[in-house]
Amino acid sequence: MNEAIKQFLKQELLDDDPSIQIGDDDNLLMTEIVDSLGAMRLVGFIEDQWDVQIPPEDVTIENFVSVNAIVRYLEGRLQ
Amino acid sequence: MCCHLPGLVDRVAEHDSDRPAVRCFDERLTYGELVRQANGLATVLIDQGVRRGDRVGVLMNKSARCAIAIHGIMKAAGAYVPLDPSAPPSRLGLIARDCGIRHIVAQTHRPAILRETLRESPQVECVVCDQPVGRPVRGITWEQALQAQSDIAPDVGVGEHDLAYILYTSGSTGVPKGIAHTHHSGLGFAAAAATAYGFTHEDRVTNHAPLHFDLSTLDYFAAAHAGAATIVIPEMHMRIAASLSELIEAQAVTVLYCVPFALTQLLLHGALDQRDLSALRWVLFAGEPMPVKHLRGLMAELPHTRFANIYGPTETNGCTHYIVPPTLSESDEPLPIGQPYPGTEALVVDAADNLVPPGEPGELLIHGPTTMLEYWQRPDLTAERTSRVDTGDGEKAYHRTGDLVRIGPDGNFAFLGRKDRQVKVRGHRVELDEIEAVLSAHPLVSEAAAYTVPSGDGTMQVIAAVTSPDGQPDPAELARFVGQRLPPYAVPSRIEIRETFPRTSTGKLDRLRLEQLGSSAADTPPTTQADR
Repeated sequence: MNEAIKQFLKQELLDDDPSIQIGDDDNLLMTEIVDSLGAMRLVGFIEDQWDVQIPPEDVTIENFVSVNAIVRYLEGRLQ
Repeated sequence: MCCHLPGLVDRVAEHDSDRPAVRCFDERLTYGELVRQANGLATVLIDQGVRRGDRVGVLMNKSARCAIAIHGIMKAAGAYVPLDPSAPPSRLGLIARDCGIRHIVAQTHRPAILRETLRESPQVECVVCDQPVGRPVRGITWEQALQAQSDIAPDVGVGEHDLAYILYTSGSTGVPKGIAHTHHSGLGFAAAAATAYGFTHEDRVTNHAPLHFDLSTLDYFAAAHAGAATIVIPEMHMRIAASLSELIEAQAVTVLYCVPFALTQLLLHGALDQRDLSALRWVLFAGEPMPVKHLRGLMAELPHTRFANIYGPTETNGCTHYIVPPTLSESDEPLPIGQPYPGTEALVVDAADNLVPPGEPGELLIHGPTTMLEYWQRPDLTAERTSRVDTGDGEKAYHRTGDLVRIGPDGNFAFLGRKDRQVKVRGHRVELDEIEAVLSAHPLVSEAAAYTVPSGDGTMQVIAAVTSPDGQPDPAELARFVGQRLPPYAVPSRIEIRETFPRTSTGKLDRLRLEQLGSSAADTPPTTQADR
């Protein structure tokens, strides 16, 4: 799960820039990796990939701040 | 009457020092604390060699300390120059060299940006920050600056015609130009906005825009004019609409001011049906045209809120505004930019600076208390963008906005587009902004952008790109939609459907990048483009 999300971020949002490494706990929203449009694309990707519906009120900083936070949220949803 | 911008906060602190001035999450400052700490920073900056009229860089992420930085610099008789921490260091270096910045006040999540900017700016001597800066400069920590806090401001005699701040915008050539405002123009706008929207000391006004974007001057100065609190929206909340709406609810924000794009995000992804935003009195927007259908959606979600469209290039601050009536007509006509704030004069002229009759399009000229002093060290450009016109009460200097407008039958100014976005296609004059307005009115289109590329035969062709939140509109159908509303030569020869548009750091559409994306897409066989 972590790797799939990171791969999406790298390929889709960072244009495969090799100089940027993403750690599991890195703040995605503070480091300009994910802007507001990126966040919506990320949500779309997760919905398609894991076949879940994410309601707007769940797209919060708490749930999307890092790769680990997204995975925690998703695991909760998929149980 | 205050004669300088820090005087606005001083005046509140004198009578009501415990009143909230700035809040960014848990970081809070009362007017008393803000004034004392800004006095402290000013004293330290003067000790470090800041002299009257010096330009001082502010390289800071959003925080309550931004208010200390800008007021501290101005209290030292300096002018603050925002350096966007998300911009490339080469650009920041260009700005710092252009206006000869020798001092920088910094606080950023990305210390590398500061280090690289300093490498690009050999003239910088002193930095206020809490991180190692990578080259020998005099360093002052924030703690040292704040320890110098004092009830007494340094006696430097700042006057209203002193330089207060310089905001850099990208010129059409890509070289940033500095727009220099005095305390006079800053105060003029603060008073106009605070009066127009009836700000009081009970208000909580957001600071959504970054400091280098001129919207931030309303957030800090119009709020202080009324003794209101500025609620700084951290960068993370600008990216996640549901968290932004949560913050607006939690901090009982009364005035939200931002770019239309942020409002569209709030409407589409902000979970507004889950929030109680009943404290919100005003939603103000500026920077680009607001899509009318999204405004209508927002008005339905926020029935108790009033809305106003503020217009003004950075050179004039906000100078006209349109208060949206409670019931918006069913047409998808773009919103007017309304009428000038009291004290501002607006003229519509032809190429020879002659007034055009009402209803005719022309360039908008502005004269008034909110207008800039000059383009920093560009007398050529300042002269080029200034017209001297006599309308009967003596000759006055007007700023040429470069925007095309027309006065409607109701007396409101309508924005028609940028003068330089008026292009010739096969001999016909085409307004790219008009094409965008028509495309955005299509039910399946969220946003639209139009631009020209040279076609093989030496003429120009119009290309459009649109984003769509719900499914894929058919480009041929979009072309028909435009064809029913505009002359045939204005129908784009290609319409690209995109998932998203690139944005600049201020949240505006990044046109240059969009055109690059368009031209690279044109190299590969199109799948979603209408070949006409």
